[in-house]
Amino acid sequence: MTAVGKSQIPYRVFVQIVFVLFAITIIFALYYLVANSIKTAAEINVSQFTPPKSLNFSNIKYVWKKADIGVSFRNSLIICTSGCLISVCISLITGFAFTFLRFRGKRLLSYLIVSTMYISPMALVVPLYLQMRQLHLTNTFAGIIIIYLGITLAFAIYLMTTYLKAIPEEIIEAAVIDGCGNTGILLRIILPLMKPGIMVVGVINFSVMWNDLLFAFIFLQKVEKQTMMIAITSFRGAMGGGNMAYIMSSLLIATIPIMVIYLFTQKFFKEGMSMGAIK
Amino acid sequence: MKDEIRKKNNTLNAYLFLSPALIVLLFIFGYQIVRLFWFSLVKWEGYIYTTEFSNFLYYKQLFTKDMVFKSLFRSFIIIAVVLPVVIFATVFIVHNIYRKVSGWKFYRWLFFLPAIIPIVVQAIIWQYLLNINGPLNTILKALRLEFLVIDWFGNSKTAIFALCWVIIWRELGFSTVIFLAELAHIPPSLYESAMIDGANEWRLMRHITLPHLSRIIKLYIITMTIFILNNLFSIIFASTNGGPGYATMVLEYYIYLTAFRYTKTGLGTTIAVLLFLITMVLVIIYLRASSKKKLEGVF
Repeated sequence: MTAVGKSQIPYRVFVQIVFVLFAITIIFALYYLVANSIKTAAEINVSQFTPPKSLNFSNIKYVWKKADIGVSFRNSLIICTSGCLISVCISLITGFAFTFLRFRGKRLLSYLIVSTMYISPMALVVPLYLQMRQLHLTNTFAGIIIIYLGITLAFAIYLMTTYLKAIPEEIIEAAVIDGCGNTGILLRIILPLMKPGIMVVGVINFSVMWNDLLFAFIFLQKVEKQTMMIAITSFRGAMGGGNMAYIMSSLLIATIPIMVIYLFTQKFFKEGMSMGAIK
Repeated sequence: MKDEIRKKNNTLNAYLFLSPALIVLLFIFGYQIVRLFWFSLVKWEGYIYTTEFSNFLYYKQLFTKDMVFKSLFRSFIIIAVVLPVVIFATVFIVHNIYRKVSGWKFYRWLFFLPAIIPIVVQAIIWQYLLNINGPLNTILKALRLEFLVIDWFGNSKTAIFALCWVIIWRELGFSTVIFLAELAHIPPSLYESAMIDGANEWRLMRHITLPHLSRIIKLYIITMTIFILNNLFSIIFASTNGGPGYATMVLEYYIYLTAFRYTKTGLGTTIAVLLFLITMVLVIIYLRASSKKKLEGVF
């Protein structure tokens, strides 16, 4: 290591310059978001670079109450939490069947499920919209949750199976010999072992649902039903070039939950990567 | 005979476990795709479809619309810009993180962050950062680089590149994680012995890291192509709306406008069929490339 180190100083400097420049774009973008949502409009007019003079949460309070951000935040939380829970349960039992049960059509079915991951969402929107309107499911949480289940399931199942495969076959065999049925194996043996897998799948599902704009925009057109992503886009449209502090506050509120969830579950992602489950 | 019964029971049992997922997926994907094809073949009156065969009316219209092929071509421009940049940058990043340059832990953590910021939030922030009076142009002015002071998203020549930059910035977070996981299979001794032979870092990157990543790069190119063709709606909707003019109009966005804004639902679904078919070809290529053994399936 050390012998080569010296001759490669220009290389090391080059790497650091590239990395620092890219790091600056990330840090600055985040700084810009946080600082400008705390600053007053007058402060922003002076400069977009300076840090805020004082901690001032009035912008955030204002958009929460006046700009329907609070309502949308609540809607998003309800939709994403329940959607995510259902998606985790379904993908767990599906993954269980794919990993531990033998059945006909397994290979074909796995291909079909994986291919739904890549189907153009825009191709689904028109037929789905007419379908949901017929079923009176537009502007309802149930309707959007069914759609979100559809778009998250394939990846969730794929990820669950990679975690389930890591469970040693002997444990399952021992349980079968002890007379444990499929449901018993799933609930008493697999569930406790699957905590990391469930967390990772859950977080990914949650963030896919939280970040979605297309389906929420088409299927939830009433203001009292809209989600966070729709709220911030239409708020920005309504404000135009207007008060930037308000717009940045709304963006900050939309970012915080996903950041917090990720920071709390980070260790599960790391474990997952080291066992090669996340590809 | 007994064995036969057990097998049958097991299949039945397995499908019991599979049924919730299959019902949802058949309803959201299978059934709707069938309807999509059907909708492209019947006559439409505004948002209302009839049961009358349209004699391929919308397919004929599709081939007379310049915008369909122009916007498809635009997607391929974006792919041609984004893919090489992301792949070269990712190989460079993961090589140096894997070789533990100073601060590698911090960089690994930081470079992933853009991947978890909601895509809509990113699109809006970058619109501000690249605005004519925004931070980037302020810095450029201070550096006396006035000729570079451009309203990046508002100028019809640069808007598509501003869009590419947002995609690249976000995508590097994901690609770094994926490529790093693949690199974990390389024994560090491989690098050490090459270094004893006098290879420098560029050569290690070129002759050890890159060949080890070739499989994942191949898969990544296909998935990213599918992604760029199909998943740019939210970025475009939150930033340029396909403009200025038609500078960032991609096929996906054109389908949305045709079906929902111009009330030409028949034509909209027909363009959607085209996009669906292009994507399916790519998916088949992907599935062929990804399964190592033919009989194994995907899981």
